Amino acid sequence: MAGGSLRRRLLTRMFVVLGVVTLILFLFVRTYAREAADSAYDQLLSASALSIADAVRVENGAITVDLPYSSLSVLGTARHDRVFYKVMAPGGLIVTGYEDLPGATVHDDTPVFQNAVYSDAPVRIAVTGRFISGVARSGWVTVVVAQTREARDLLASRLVANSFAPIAFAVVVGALLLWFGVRQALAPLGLLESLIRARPPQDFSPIDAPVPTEVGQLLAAINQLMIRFKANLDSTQSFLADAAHQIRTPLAALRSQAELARREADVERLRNRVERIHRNAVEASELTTQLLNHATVVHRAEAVQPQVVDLDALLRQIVQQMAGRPDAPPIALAREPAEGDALLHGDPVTLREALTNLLDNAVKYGGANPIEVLVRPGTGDFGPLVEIADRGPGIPDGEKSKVFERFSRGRLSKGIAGSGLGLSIAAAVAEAHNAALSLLDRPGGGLVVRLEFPAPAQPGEGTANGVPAGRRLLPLILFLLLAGALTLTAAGPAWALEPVVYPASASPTPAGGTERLRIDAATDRPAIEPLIRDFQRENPTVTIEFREMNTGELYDSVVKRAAGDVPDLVISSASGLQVKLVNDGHARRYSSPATEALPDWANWRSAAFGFTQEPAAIVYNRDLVPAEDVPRSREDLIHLLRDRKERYRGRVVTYNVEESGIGYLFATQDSVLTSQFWQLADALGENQARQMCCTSDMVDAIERGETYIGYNLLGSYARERQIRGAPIGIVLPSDYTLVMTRVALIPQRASAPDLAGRFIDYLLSERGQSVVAGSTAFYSIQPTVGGPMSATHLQEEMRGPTQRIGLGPALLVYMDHLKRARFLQQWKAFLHQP
Amino acid sequence: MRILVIEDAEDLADAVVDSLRGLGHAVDWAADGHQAEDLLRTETYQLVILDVMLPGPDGQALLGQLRRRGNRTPVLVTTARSQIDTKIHMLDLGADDYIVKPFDLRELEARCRALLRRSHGMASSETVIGNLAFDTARRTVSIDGRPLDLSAREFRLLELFLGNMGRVLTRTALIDQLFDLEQAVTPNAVEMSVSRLRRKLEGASVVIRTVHGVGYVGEKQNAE
Repeated sequence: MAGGSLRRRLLTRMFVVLGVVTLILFLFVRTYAREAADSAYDQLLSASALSIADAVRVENGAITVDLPYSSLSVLGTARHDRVFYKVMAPGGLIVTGYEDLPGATVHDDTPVFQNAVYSDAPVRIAVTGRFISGVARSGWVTVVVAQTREARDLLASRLVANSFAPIAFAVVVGALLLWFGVRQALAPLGLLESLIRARPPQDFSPIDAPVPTEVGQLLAAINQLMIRFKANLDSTQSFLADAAHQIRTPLAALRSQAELARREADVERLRNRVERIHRNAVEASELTTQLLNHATVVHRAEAVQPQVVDLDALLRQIVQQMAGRPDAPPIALAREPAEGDALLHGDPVTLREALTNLLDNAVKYGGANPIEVLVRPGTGDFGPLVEIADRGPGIPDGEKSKVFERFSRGRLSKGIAGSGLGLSIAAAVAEAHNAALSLLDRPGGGLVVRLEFPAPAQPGEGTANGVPAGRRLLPLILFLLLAGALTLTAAGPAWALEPVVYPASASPTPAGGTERLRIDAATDRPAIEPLIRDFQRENPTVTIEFREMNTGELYDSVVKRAAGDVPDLVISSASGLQVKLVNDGHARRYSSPATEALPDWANWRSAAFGFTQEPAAIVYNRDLVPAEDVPRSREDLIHLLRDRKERYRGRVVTYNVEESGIGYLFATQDSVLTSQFWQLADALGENQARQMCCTSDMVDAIERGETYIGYNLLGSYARERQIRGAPIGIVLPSDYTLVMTRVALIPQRASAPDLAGRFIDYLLSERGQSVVAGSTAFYSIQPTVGGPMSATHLQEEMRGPTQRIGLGPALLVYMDHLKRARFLQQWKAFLHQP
Repeated sequence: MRILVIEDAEDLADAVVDSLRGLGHAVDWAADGHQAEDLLRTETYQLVILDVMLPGPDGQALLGQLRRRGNRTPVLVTTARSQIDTKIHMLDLGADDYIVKPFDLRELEARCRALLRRSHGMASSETVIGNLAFDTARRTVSIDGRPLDLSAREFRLLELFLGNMGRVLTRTALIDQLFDLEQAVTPNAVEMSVSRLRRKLEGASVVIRTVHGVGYVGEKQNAE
């Protein structure tokens, strides 16, 4: 962690912590938002499941369910989510719905929620149970309702965005504050730096600058350091001066005496001079040696790693060496107690120098008297100890502290060659070893020099726990970052699942290329032909393959055909089935400015696009139905049928709802919208109303006078005939008018989805809508285009409220096979009255 | 001339003293500051050679005392310190010259000569009066180019007379300046030296005349 910019280090750490905190906050907010969104939408899901559970019945000993319209329409609140459901009998047998939907049987009527993946999308599942009795095997029926997460995720991401925005703002402000703060905080350091840099090399005076308290401490430390430097420098300088003085004096004497000796003729005096020369030469050389030793001691104290030193062995060697001198007195080396090793950690070289100096002093000043050297090994709390005792003159108390100074010699040292460095070297060595060097008066005269080493340090002290806090923090930060990264990666797939949006490609293709668009439609070819032709005028290179089929076949062609045989575009008026295709994941999403401009009810999940408006109308033969008989509403129709049975028996026509998708759609919608629907069905049945598959047949029959009145016919179709001169009247019921929209979608497995998209764009374009409004049997959906079949015309003809059959999951209710079977059964029961 | 050597290193002091005595000067030695203090207060010297580092009052203290008393005796400082600061400091205190140890004895002698000459008001080491040529540096004296053989003391005596031409020098003044404390001196010894010198100066333009009851005076004799 050494080096680098303090600011960068500070900022990096702070930003990392800030980032981690932000990440944690983000995760927290996201979790919270998900929970909030879930709890909001779970209410709907559970309401849906419970309403289905309520509709579970036992009929003829078998469990059946009449899917309530509200059960799925309530989920339509999340407009664009796909919904799935299943109902299981006791034992897990499927009653209705999506067999492979996850969700195990339960024996409890409290809805439980879980997350799963179904139909390639993450879904939220509500599971509830309902106890059913009265069956052979009474037990728990399980209702499972699932909904894709799109609305939840949208809500959650909005919540995240809304609640995270202030946090993000605070974080940004915080980061700026940190940046400014660190800059501000470090500014005094910069000032300090410039002050120190600006100093002349010899200036060691304290820096006096107005700095904050925190930096003031640093400044005080620097000033203290400078004072120490100055003191050190001074002491070094004075040492050099002293050393120069000390070495120059004997040299001066040496030189002067030698000069005189050169002039001397008298032999006796010459001998005297030579004696003096010798003495000064010895002193100078001794001094030089000591100076070098002193330098060595100072250097080694700083640079040498301590090692184990055996004091006994060291002293034996020194005493032996000393005893070898010709003038040496007897030296006695004693041990007390005799056992134990006198070991210590230190530098043997400098210790030898120090002890030699001490013993040398004893020899110099002790005269011929014996010298005693005592070694005591360390014991527990005490370190080893060495004492050197002589019978010399000793040192008076006043001088004891002085003699440790460099070049200082005792008053009684006169006449003895010495440097004045010996004791100061010993003192320096003692200091380097944390030892105490003391001079004591010896009882009976003489001096005792005591060198007392400290007790050995406790093991484990000082070296452990040396890891700086920063290094300990780093793995934690890395871990948090990694965890954050993993979380983000894990969250990735949820976003990656957003549908691929293919751009509109309405522009002409490069010359030479031919494109083939396959359209499967449950729509009369003549009705749609003008659109295809016009599209090809705009896109001359496109070959369009158009197949007409009924709605059931259409569903199969999307779901069951081999991949290469799947149509590129499917157009159908059976919006329920189209919605089911989208819901079950068989449709491709497509988005363009044109589709985005569609009203909500005509665009579901950017996959099902309504491009027409087609009202359900009462159509009558103007010649055969007198004006007063013309029903203006469903109630009128019921009354007419009931009051004028003889005239209209067998002369009323409506869809065969079993065969006609549109007929089923209109009938089921009526059943939801009006309580009079079954009355009407009853009235129709009483009148032995005819049922036909197709609008054109019905209009033909009315036109020919075979039937007088048709109910729930496609008003646009009839209008087109009327414009062409057919003697028919069209009534848009005044109680309400159902308006459906023809739906185009691109199958998931389409081979030319881009081209299909272009066709959809064309259908919704001004040009396409003009064709719709001008020359087809549909009303346009675009309010701006003009023509006999324009949206404006439709609006004008409306007498009552419009009930648009919006594209959405609510339409799925009547796609349920049980629901359909039940509806058809009921319908037939009314219509086929004896 | 009378010179005081203040130096604690015995062998160095010995060498300096011996060398100066060899030149005919009267030299006293003080081994520490206290001794030097006493001598400076009681005796008169023509030159003081002063070591800076001394036991007792050090060189700076001694020089300060001396100058404060108004004593203008030339002081030659010797020291082992070569720092320019020390030199400046000592010169500021009133030292006349400065020499760093270790030094060449000949250099020391030359500096001493220069300081002594300055106190006599002589500009160079060579003095010519009539037919007498006197060279302190080469320690030679000649009359009409004929070299004169003088002892060290006779040379110093002549130097005294030449430095004080026309001024009467009392016998005690001569004793003070020619003999150090260790030499047992009688007024007779002065008379003997003077008469020996007079004899050797025969034919020279400088004569030493006796002023009865007082002392002697050196005078220039115009050749007829």
